[in-house]
Amino acid sequence: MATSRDRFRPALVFLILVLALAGTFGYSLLSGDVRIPLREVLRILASGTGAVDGSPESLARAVIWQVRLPRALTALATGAGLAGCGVLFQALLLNPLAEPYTLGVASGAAFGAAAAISFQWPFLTFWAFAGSVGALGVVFMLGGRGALREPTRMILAGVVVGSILSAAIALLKALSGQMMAAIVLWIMGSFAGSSWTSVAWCLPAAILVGGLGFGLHRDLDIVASGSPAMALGVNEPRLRLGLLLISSLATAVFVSFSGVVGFVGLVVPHLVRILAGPNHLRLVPLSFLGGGLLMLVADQAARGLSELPVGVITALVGGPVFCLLLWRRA
Amino acid sequence: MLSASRVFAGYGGLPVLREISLEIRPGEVLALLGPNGSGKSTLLSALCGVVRATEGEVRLGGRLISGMDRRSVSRQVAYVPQQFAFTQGFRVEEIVLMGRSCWLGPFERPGETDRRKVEEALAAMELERVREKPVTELSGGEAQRACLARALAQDTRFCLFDEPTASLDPRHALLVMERLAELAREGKGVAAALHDVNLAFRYASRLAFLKEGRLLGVFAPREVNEAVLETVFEVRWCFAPGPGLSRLAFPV
Repeated sequence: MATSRDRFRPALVFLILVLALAGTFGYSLLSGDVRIPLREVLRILASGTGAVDGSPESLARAVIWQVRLPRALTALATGAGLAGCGVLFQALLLNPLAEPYTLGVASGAAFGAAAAISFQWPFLTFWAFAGSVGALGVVFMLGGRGALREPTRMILAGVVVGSILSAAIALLKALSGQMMAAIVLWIMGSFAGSSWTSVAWCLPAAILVGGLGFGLHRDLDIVASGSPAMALGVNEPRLRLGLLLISSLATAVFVSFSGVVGFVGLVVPHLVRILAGPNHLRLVPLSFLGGGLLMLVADQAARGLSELPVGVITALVGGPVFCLLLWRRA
Repeated sequence: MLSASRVFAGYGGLPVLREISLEIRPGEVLALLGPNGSGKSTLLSALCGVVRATEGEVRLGGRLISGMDRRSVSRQVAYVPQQFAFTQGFRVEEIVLMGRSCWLGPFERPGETDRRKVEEALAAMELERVREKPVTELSGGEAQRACLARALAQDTRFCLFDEPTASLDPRHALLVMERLAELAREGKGVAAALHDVNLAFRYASRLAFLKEGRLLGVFAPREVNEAVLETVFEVRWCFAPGPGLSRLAFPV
């Protein structure tokens, strides 16, 4: 049913994204304070982690394997996962303004992290995750069973919980004195603390979200189009419950490790829709790649600008591009 | 056979349908008529399992519809609700192809049969000219025909339509009703909620009248008289001879 233009344009966007992603990923391994030539990077990657013995070669090996690679993979997975979650949220909540943080996950994580920083609790990531899951639980409870048929109720529950938690975070900031800067920096997001642990959590979470979105692309098309999903064979409440729960938990993983990086989950799906249409068979993989690319670019910029908060850069890079596309479309 | 037996159903604990028993037989067009709020839409929703019966049962081919998964139901019953609000700019042919979704596996590409059904549905609803157009840019009538085409592409044994001609001009209203009659001639069971009594006289084999959530009666077109219509709609009616042997009803 697709015309040649329909096939050609998404294929071209896909190719450009893959090439750009590969290039940016490669560049993120090459760039940094310690200069390591491309040939050396390739040799280190091919030869494995190896032992650290204080030699220049083992230093380069440690930089690649313990710093740059996990950081790039975490940024890639987080960007891809958040964009994938954004696609699911916008489809399932039938709301173009929906994003992975709509159901209070980000506010929950920020509250958990702010509390942990204020009271100097260990295991910051755990508290951020606990805050996310707690907020999500309250939102689902407030929404009730009816919310699965009526998404607006769930969005309202998310907004209310988010507002209460934002006020609580503001209170923690006011009371935390010297810790306030640490709270603000954590909330604005950074990949500076990435490790193989963050990769081990974020990468499977992103793959799960992307895989589910891709596998259920037809059901998502039906729901997102405003068609009567139940009459077309889609158990809409069950699909909504399952996917919102899974993608919210995945979002909780991303924000727990990297902070609340905004913009990607909201705008990348819209960008891709403008370029390749609303069909989820194309929207999910292209948003996945686009989100990963935007986050990698933003993290590269953050590294070059004395670890500026990555959320600021995602908005500064993606915003003008989105405005340009909107303007051209208008 | 698609049947409701002593069905109660409603929304948020408030009953809309009260003890309705009705069946849709293969090869017939059953018209549902009644004033606003009489329960026509809820009955159609209950018959396809979108709204659950709080009491009584709906059976499809002898099986309880509440115990069937949505995919199996959708392969046998198509349903076009009264309201349609397209929220994203899918193209018309993509919307019609969604009717084939219940016949396809997650990664299965639409095959020759699917493409043929979509083409037939687009042609039947005269949508070829706008097939590439985003549904969000269609007129109300075109959007309604896109919804009807999606149901036709679904190719089910039973088709339920809620006011299928509400947004259509007279020519397209007749086109749609002719297609519904054709579906019945092909052996499918068709039920349509209608407000136009004369369309019901012309195309339906039976007319079911609802009022305040109750089924007042099921009549053959010839059996319906002024008294029946007056009881249902609470206005006076008169009949006049129509083309051929038909008759036309007017509220006065």
